[in-house]
Amino acid sequence: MKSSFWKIGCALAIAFVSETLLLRQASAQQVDVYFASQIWPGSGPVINDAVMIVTDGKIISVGTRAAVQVPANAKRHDYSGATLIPGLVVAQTTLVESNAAVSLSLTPEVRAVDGFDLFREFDKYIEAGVTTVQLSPGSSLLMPGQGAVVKLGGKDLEQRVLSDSESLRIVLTREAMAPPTVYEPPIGAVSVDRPLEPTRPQLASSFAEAIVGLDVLFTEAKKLDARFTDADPMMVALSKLVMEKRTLRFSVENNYEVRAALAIAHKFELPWLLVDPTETAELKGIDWRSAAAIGVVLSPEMRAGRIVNPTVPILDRKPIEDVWVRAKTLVDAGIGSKLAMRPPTDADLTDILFLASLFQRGGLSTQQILSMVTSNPASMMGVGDRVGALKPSADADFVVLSGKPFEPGSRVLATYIEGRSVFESDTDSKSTVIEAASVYTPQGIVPGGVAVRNGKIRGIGRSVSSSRNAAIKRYPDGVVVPGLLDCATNVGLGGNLAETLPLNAKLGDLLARDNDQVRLARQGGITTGLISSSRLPSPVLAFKLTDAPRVIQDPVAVRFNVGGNLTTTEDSTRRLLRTGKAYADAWTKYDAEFAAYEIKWKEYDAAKKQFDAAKAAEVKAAEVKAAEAKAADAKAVEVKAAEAKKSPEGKTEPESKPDEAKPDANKPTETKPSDSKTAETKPDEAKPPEPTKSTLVEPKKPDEPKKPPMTEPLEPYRALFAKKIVAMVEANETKAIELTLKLFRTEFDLTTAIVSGKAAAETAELLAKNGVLVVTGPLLIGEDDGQVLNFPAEISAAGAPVAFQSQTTTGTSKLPDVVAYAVYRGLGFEDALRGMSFGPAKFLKLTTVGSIELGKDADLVVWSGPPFELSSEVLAVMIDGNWVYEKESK
Amino acid sequence: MMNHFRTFRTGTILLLGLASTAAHLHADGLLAIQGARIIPIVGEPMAVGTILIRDGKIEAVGKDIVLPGEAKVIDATGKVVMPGFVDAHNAGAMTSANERNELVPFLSVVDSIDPVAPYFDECRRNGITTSAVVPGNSTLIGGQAAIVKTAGQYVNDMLLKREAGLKISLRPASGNRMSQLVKLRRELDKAKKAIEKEAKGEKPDVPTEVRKEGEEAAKPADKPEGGPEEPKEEGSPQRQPEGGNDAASQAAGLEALKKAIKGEQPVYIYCETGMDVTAAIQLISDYSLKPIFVLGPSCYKAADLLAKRNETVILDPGLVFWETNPRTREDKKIILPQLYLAAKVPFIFQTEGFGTRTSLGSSFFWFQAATAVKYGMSEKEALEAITLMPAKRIGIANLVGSIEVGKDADLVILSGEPLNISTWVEQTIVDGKVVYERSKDEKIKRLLAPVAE
Repeated sequence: MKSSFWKIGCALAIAFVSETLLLRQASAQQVDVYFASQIWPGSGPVINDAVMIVTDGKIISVGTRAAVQVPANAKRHDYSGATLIPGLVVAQTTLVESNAAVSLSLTPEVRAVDGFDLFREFDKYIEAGVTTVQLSPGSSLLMPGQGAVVKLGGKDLEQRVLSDSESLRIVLTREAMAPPTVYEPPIGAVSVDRPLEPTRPQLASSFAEAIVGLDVLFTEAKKLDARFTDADPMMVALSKLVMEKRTLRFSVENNYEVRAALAIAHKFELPWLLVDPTETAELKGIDWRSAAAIGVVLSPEMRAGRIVNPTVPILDRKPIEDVWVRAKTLVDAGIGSKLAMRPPTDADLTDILFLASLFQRGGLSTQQILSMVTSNPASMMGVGDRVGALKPSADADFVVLSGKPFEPGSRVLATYIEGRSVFESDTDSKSTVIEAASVYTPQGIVPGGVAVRNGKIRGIGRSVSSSRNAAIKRYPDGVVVPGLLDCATNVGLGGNLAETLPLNAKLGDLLARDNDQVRLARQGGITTGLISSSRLPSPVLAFKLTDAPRVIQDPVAVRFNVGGNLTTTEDSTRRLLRTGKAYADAWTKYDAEFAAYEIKWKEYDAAKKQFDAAKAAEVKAAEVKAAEAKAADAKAVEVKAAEAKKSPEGKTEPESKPDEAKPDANKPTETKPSDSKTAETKPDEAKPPEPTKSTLVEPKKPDEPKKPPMTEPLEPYRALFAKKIVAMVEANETKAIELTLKLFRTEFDLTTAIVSGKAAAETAELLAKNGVLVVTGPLLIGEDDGQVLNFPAEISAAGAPVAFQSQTTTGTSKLPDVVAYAVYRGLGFEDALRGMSFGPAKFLKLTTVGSIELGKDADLVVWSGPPFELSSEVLAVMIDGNWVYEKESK
Repeated sequence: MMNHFRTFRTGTILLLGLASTAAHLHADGLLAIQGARIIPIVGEPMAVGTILIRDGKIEAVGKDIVLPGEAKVIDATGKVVMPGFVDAHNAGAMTSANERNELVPFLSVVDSIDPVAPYFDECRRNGITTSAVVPGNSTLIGGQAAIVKTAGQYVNDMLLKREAGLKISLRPASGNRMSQLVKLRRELDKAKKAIEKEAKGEKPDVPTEVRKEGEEAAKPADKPEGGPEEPKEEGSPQRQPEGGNDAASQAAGLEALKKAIKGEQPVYIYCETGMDVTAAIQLISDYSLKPIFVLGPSCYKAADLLAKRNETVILDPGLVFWETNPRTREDKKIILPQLYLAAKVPFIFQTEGFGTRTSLGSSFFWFQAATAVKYGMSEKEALEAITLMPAKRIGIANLVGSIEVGKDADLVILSGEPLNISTWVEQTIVDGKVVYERSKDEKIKRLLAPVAE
């Protein structure tokens, strides 16, 4: 008792010391920590909410998040939502050189490892999760040679061969019984020094001959003295394998083949492994605990997604059992962890997880099936200490699955070999990390990059956290600026729009999809454009220059023109605005009244509820009184009284209805005139049931205000006068600007943007005072008395915000160049950038675009250097998180 | 060569030997090259210098050398003198690169070198003065290499080293790689066991009769790759005919293999692909071989493995080629010098066979070096890679590879800077004798002559 206690103590102490040692070692090297929803370690039960620590290609510990201590300096890999399983180990493949071997039936000295190309790419198998495979010599003659166990990937070539001589393959199936009865050496070129080789008979023309032949060979091999060196090299090789007690890997089918295989293995005291037995009768009585019984490898005789013609069962013979039935039989017979599976052909390695899941049909658990492609084959082939299980000190070969193993839809997200990622599934285009030199935010220039997720900006700066599937784009010298805004473009409609449009026209419906002009236009960095008709007034639409143009706001402004004969224009414009204001005012009044009505309705509603409750109580009290009176009369009447008790409850139900019938107060403005009738009828429904007899006073229902008539073409004025949208006014003369300010600012107090050029530059002070946005372009530089006049520079200098427009189609892409010219001519760099991004965006109340801020749309432009510098160029453009333009690298 | 032939016609057989050694030398075999820029490979280049040659050896190199009056002087003013180039792997001197039999360790290339082969003409024309003649790559064990000078009348005169290496190829001559290795191991095992037996003082089980130099060795070798001998029992499945009716060649082959295992002669191992490199490294450690790696095109995949060995390797003649990824169908340009430079594997070159493809740049030794320079090698290293490095690699650096006092007077006089496309080989000197002069090269003259109307 004491000693066992002591032993446990020792073991614990050693375990503790070794783990701390490992961790200490790890602290010097890179430590990787993988978090996953589940880890299936291959052997042993599933671990939920699990952590695995890896360093130097080896696993240090695996366990639940609570149980495993995570080193502070570790690199964290978040696979939450995913499942980790060991890299798959396949118990038999023929991934060796496929050149035809000599058709000799006995070549035990052939080593499959010699035919394996370590430099070949096995990506498609690695992508399916396979990391380790057994190699068998390709030939299917009696004794084709020695198998090997190798990894399909990994950096260190020496680590990739796990076993160069794992087993000796012996094929006892029918295919091996038909070697060329006479071995005919290849004829080739015959010369004096290369005579024609004689032919010779060879094993095995029949099963009995094969077995007798094998018996003789093994007997001789066992007799061979290792010191006796002049023997036939084939016999020397065989003798060596027998001495070293190499596993005999028998390919068998029927019971008699199984029996013969077992007999040979027992006679020469060699460990044995059976591949593909189709009958299990001989296997039921085996003592699976014996060390000589290495195990059984089964293959589903089914190819993923393909039809294989089944053979018609021979009369009087039991049909072949399905592989999963055989697997279950063996499990029930106590095979334990000595059962593995292999795909029917090498091509099916890509579907190994699917093929393994077929064993579910036999009632095997996920745990059992997983071990058939991981820990079981690994330990059967003597490489279980390195692969097949996620356990401390094993190689960090593992697969990340999107779901549970063998679950439909569960796919391989990543494969790791020795702690290195050798495959990662296509990155999630929804997440992008742009690593650049600096980022222009409204708060200033920030070093680092931008992280984007689901089309929104999710991180800015140097240490943005990246989602595990994020695509990383590196622009080491790049400068990230917000997507630029063109205050008037003609791109997107397939040409200039010069029609008189009612103000309620939805320009968004006219935008063309997959427009080549749009594709070209955005290459300059413009991501948002404003379009309108050239016949004014016209509604203005804001949209993104994506392949399927996305409307941001329709309308975002109403564009007017103040020009021509200013005397008549003043009158007509005033009239126009008055009509609009009258309409807007009518609705504003209605809105105010409706708001008041809403308050009153709420009061009424509360009062009504009180009244109803009081009323119900009154009725109930009266009935109870009546019932009591009756109960006093006789017991026989009790039944009646009980019925009467029920009925009040039933009656109260309709009384709760007025609550539901309450008009939806949240969206009264949206109710169209045609709906007003139904809106009016609603309170009728809400009428309480007639009070039968009461002294209570019912509250009075408030009157609903009357809606003004709806005039669609005037609707935008409501938003305009509510200052939700902007009036953009073209005014190309000084007088016109003055008139515009008088009408739009002073008389009607609208949020106004002046679209002008030289005239705006001349009236810059006035404009600044009136708080208007000045949209200039495409001509930014003009002459004044023979002197160069930089319009945006003058306007900005006076303190008025500027914005820019191109008024072209594909020329929109050149707008930044025009602005760069203005910058070259003296416009402040910051004014230029603001004028193309958050300046107008803010003014136009386009809250989701125009600046690089958390939560805004990921409309970004990567420049090779500071924007608007002549040496800088656009490297890439992103709209809503998708790259819409990437300059081809040289 | 022209001179030699003239002697042939006029002289007697007796005179022939004398004439060929002293045909155009002044008294005492003294020759001086004056006025040229000298690139000695070992040591700094000299802007103007003199090389004095006595009896086929370099006697002095320097600026102010007093020339004996009787010395024949070559005025090389404005020209460049370099050591003659050394080709470490070529089968051009033989009538055929490989025997049809794939297992012929007993053969020596000496028996197949043709002193008047066009290959030697080309060598002298292109400045190659030493060539290792190695059996080709289509073999299993292809025989023994020899190192020769590229000028001479008889093979024995040209011979610098007789047993210069055993050729082994890992590219299957027949069957697949697994059986190629089985056969190779079988042969090496035989030799290894023979050595072990000798060490124990036991009588070797193979005939001791050894082939003598120059003896006819072409008796039919009986199935040297013959299969195993089965236990002699009734129903024994495989019966091998008894081999060895040419015991002499078998014994010679065994001797050659024994020498390779004992490290007495190097092994030229041809690897076609990366996997052959891994197999070769395994063989080298299993049988303690002294390898000279001859690499095929796709061996670059194993460059890291080769880098660990830190041995000079011989690159494939095709230094730049395209490879298609079987999965993505993407073409990729493979530039071997770049890849091996990046992996820090020292390398030297070989050329594609002369004669058949002379129009290709890769048949010229200097072109290979120039290609390497194009892809990042320094010019100094590139020049070393065609002179001293191959000489070191094949173990003759004490004789050739650089212009140093005491070494063989194998020199190339170039019209300009080496590795320049407009530079010609003006004269080639082997063992102090001028063996090529451009002014007397009828072939070049014919090639460059203006086309007659």
